[in-house]
Amino acid sequence: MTCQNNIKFMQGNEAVAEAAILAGVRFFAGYPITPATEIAEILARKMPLVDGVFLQMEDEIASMAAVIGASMAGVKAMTSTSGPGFTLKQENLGYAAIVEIPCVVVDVQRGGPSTGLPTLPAQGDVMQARWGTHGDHPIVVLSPATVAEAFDLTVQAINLSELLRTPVILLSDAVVGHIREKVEIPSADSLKLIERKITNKSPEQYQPYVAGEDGVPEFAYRGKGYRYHITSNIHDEAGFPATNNHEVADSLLRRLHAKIDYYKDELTFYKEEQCADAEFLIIAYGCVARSAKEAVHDLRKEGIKAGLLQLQTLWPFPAEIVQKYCAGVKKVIVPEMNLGQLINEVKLNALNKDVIGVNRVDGRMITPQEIAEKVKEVK
Amino acid sequence: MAIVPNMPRSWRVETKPHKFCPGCGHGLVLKALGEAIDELDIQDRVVFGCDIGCSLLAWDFFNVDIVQTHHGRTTPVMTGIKRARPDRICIAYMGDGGGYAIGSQHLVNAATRNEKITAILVNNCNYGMTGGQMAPTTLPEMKTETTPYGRDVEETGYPTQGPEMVAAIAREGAYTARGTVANVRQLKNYLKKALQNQLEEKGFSFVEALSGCPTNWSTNAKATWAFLEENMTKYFKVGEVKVPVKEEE
Ligand SMILES: Cc1ncc(C[n+]2csc(CCOP(=O)(O)OP(=O)(O)O)c2C)c(N)n1
Ligand code: SF4
Ligand SMILES: [Mg+2]
Repeated sequence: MTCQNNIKFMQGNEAVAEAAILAGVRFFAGYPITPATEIAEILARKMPLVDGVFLQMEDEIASMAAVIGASMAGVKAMTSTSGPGFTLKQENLGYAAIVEIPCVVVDVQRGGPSTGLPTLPAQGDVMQARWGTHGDHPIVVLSPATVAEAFDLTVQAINLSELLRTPVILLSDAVVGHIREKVEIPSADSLKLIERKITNKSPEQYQPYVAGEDGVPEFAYRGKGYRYHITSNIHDEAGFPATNNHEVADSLLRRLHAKIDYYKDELTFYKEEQCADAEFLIIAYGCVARSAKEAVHDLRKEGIKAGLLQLQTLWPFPAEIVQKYCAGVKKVIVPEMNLGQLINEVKLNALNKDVIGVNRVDGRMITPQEIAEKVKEVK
Repeated sequence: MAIVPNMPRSWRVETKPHKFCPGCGHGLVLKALGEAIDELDIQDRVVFGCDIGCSLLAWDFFNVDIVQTHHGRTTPVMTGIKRARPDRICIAYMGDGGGYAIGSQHLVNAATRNEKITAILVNNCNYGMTGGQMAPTTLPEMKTETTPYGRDVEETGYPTQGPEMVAAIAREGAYTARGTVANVRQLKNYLKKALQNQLEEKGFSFVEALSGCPTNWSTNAKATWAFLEENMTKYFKVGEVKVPVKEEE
């Protein structure tokens, strides 16, 4: 049962901070940057009230490193940032991926490249979120379109990072971060939380990187007498560097990817709007999904059979879902606030349908009219 | 007839009034810098680098070559320009966040290498541009957006004392000082000596300027000066910290 008190009117950034506390995050390290600063500011106030740690670090490289350290010690940890800071997180994102330490990075996207449009929305970090750090690393990226989704997907991001022992990125944007909307905050005990699998083996038996069927190794906190080594080099199941062992390298990298694949169903989130009989499928994510939803309604009023597939999971790219939704349609429209990033992934999975972009990089939202116009133009 | 205020020659007159908030200290630091540039007659040789932070609002302040860099990176960008064109007079202008937090490694290493550039750092006890969060210079107990309960030195350490830190690292020939916008003449003299140090290729030069941020401090004119002259100078001592030994005396 929901009681009135749980309905709040808040900003997307506020919802992220709120969700983090409820989902058990007790360590936040960050560095101020517009349009993400509110998350840090709210957690500066709230963390001490729940015996958590708020740390403002000297920069984003240090914040990301501290978050990983805290998570190694067994505390759920998060950081938030935007464009230039997201780039600085990348070094240690790769580190978190290979040492398999859960953590969440919130990137509230703004216009780039570089300091670009510091206060205006964009979706230019879609590929950086996937490939920003070097090497063949796995990553999970979720993207909210509303304040309510910002709340839910923050909880999911934290859960998935724990489940998969991998960094998860919440790819928000300046619109979702700053807009104020109604959001229903679930009670703490109704939230389904996932905690990393803690080993019950003795320190003598424990092998830090032996994984079960799902590919995720059991965890032993630093500081609990499990004297194992954590290294960013390619390592064997005992955790020791094995940089001359090609077989070990191959199996480690493949396992890092396989564990994400294993939980594909758990981590694939999307929504649909009037897709059953749609001839024109709009595929959108983040703030642009808001306009796309509006466009579908407008087009339907004019008798044009449009539908929306809103992707909440961007990476790993939900290829099968996209294929399924593209199967019955005539054309696919992908509006994005960049010059075409996710559209390339859609093209690979659109079953040879025409895929047309609607792109905007001037810091202004793509309007429902722009999307509707494009549908009518290609109809 | 309109009265035209006296402005340094090196200023770009058509961009005045400047873009800083009313009562901001940045304008006074740049006034002192403008006068120092004029008195040394180096306008044609100056490359002025500003950081991300309110220092970037100086992008059209001077009639000299100007470059704005990423947050914290002004010192190494100016180092690159100076090393490539040693005849330029390179100034890296930054905030306390830019210089002592995200760019601290660059400040330390520029001082270590004794780069022949001049770094000027505006200490306003907070991150001005992003809306008043804690900076490395935020005073003990001071409330900011990220120290809502006051800066707890047990948790976050004591405010960075930059010129003292740089002086401890820098080699012979370096110049470091701390001035204040409450004494623009003295500040100008420090800046002039710093630039002179670069002109004479003696070594790294670094001047911190104590400055006001009435917008984020939420202070009126009187309270701004009181904070600057009482609270800040109690912790941050104004004066020269390291000057090159005179060669001949
Ligand atoms: C990598 C990176 N992180 C964060 C920011 C956001 N940011 C812009 S200005 C600023 C702080 C500026 O404070 P300070 O250097 O003290 O200068 P002031 O505005 O106080 O003069 C920050 C954190 C950024 N632009 N780039
Ligand atoms: S915010 Fe502070 S430092 Fe920035 S211009 Fe305004 S008064 Fe100056
Ligand atoms: Mg400052």
